[in-house]
Amino acid sequence: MQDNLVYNIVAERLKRKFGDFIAVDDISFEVAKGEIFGFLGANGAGKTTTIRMLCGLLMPTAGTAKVCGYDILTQGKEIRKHIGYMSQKFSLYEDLTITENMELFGTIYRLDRQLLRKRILNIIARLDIRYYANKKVVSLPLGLKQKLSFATAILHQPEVVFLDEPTSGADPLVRREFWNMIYEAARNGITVLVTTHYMDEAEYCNRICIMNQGQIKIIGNPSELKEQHNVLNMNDLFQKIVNLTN
Amino acid sequence: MANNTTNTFKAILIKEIRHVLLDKITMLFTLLIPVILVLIFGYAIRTEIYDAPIAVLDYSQTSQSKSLINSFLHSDFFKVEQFLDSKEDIATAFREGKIKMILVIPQDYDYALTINKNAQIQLITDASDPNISTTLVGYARQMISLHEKSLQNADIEVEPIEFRIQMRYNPQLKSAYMFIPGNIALIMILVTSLMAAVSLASERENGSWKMLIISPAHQLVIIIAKILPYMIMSLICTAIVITLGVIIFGIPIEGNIALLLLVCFLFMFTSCSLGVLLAVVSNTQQVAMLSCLLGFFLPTLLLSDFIFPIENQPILLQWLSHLMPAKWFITALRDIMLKGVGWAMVWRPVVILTSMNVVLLGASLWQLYSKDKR
Repeated sequence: MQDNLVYNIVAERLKRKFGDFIAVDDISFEVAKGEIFGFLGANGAGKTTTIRMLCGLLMPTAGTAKVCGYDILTQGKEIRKHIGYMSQKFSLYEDLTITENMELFGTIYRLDRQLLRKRILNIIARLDIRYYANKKVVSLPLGLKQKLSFATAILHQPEVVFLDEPTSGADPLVRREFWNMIYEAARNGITVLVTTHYMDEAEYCNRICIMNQGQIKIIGNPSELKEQHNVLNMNDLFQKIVNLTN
Repeated sequence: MANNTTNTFKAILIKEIRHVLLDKITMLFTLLIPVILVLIFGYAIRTEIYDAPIAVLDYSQTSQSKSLINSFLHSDFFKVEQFLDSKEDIATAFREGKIKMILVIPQDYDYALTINKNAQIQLITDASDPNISTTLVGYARQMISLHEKSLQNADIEVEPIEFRIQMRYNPQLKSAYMFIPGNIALIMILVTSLMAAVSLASERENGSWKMLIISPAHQLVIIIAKILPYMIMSLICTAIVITLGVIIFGIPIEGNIALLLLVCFLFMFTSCSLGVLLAVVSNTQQVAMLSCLLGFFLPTLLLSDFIFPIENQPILLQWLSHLMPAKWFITALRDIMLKGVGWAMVWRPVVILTSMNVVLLGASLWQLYSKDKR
């Protein structure tokens, strides 16, 4: 990494305890602007807790982080204007239509009405969903719901978007299409922090880190990491790291 | 900034109104509840009774007593079903359930009337339905006074007859006009507290809440926009209840309409705050719904003095009843509607409701902020 890079996320010794349980244990990392950064780890490794802290939804027990240059401890309000978020649970309103959902979130994210309409039309064209535009979300196929959820999360063109297991339950084709959308967003300068437990998806990231028991065990470019640890694929790398540290 | 907030507020409000309008069954149900409640309570507590079955126990067996019984026999209000022989028959007659009231004429009735001593008549009623029994006692008193007057016309000078009324099964009788204020309280709780709690809890459960609070929108703006449609619905329902009460049951509105509205708004905000608190504390819709029904609706029904007289309940429950917002709301509403009292008289319920509101609102906001950060 070069020094003149702009970092959109800088975490410094972040720690979060729930009672005696240490969910996130003293992690530090940074993510450069326009980078796709993958968080790998089993369920309960601390990925979601980290994201919640970075979004300002959860206060760290110790340490701090800067997102888009704002401090998560004191400037949560500013951060919320510059980030997008898609949770692992599908969370658009099922009884409203696609357009109604996007109008709602666009307005909440303070988009100008004209601009919002233009972007909604773009998304409908991009995803080729004219047929569904005025259908209730509940009637859509799961893959489309997930793509739509992502499109809504970046509707206001945030600087950073947090994707918490965005593709869980989707079929391989949808996942491929979804990742195309992620690449597109990154090309437009949006920094992407994505958690996943699909190891093949890890290959698509610029850099990844593997979390286990709240700690970052390894961090770097997927191909370089495979070479260093002398493994053929990400799955083997993950197994090796987790076995090593357990 | 202010413009953004207004837009956000409008967007969430429109969304919430869409939710409400889309759920047609709930909507229909909500608008029907006031009508159903008023009709049920109204006709269970009707005040006009004809041909009420009564029994007579005549110890006296004189022409005076016969003439009194005769006036009952010819009345539209009563139907003398049974003549009893002894006081042992009283309990049996009531237990069979056919008799609503028993007229007991003492042995010395004739004698007392004649020597100008107070003549005593005993009226025993089945007060398991307190409203019917109050009404019957009222009718009987009138009949006996009329009879007494007819005696005076016959130039027999008598002292007024003294009544000794005994209300069985429920010594304290409650006003029939209780139910309109009570129904308003129940409906307010159902529409504001319950529906707002469920809608808020369901957003928290399905994750869309997270999408909202991660946005730049202020939490307070989100919540107010979310519960406003339910507030409006509750006011519509209140208007329905009051209108039905006035038109069908002739409930008077003696007092100040502005004061009436103020009290309604106060109670609406109080139950909203409680609804928000319950939604935030409970993690799922089901828990929110149950805690609202069992923790708020049921205690209100039992302790707010509108169906079950609070004076008859244990001291502990009487104390607890002071904690029910609905108790103060109903008191104030009744005083304003029926007695027409002014600002000076309802300050106590107003102050108590306001303080409850402040406490509940504070608690729910505190829970909201601390829970999402935890």
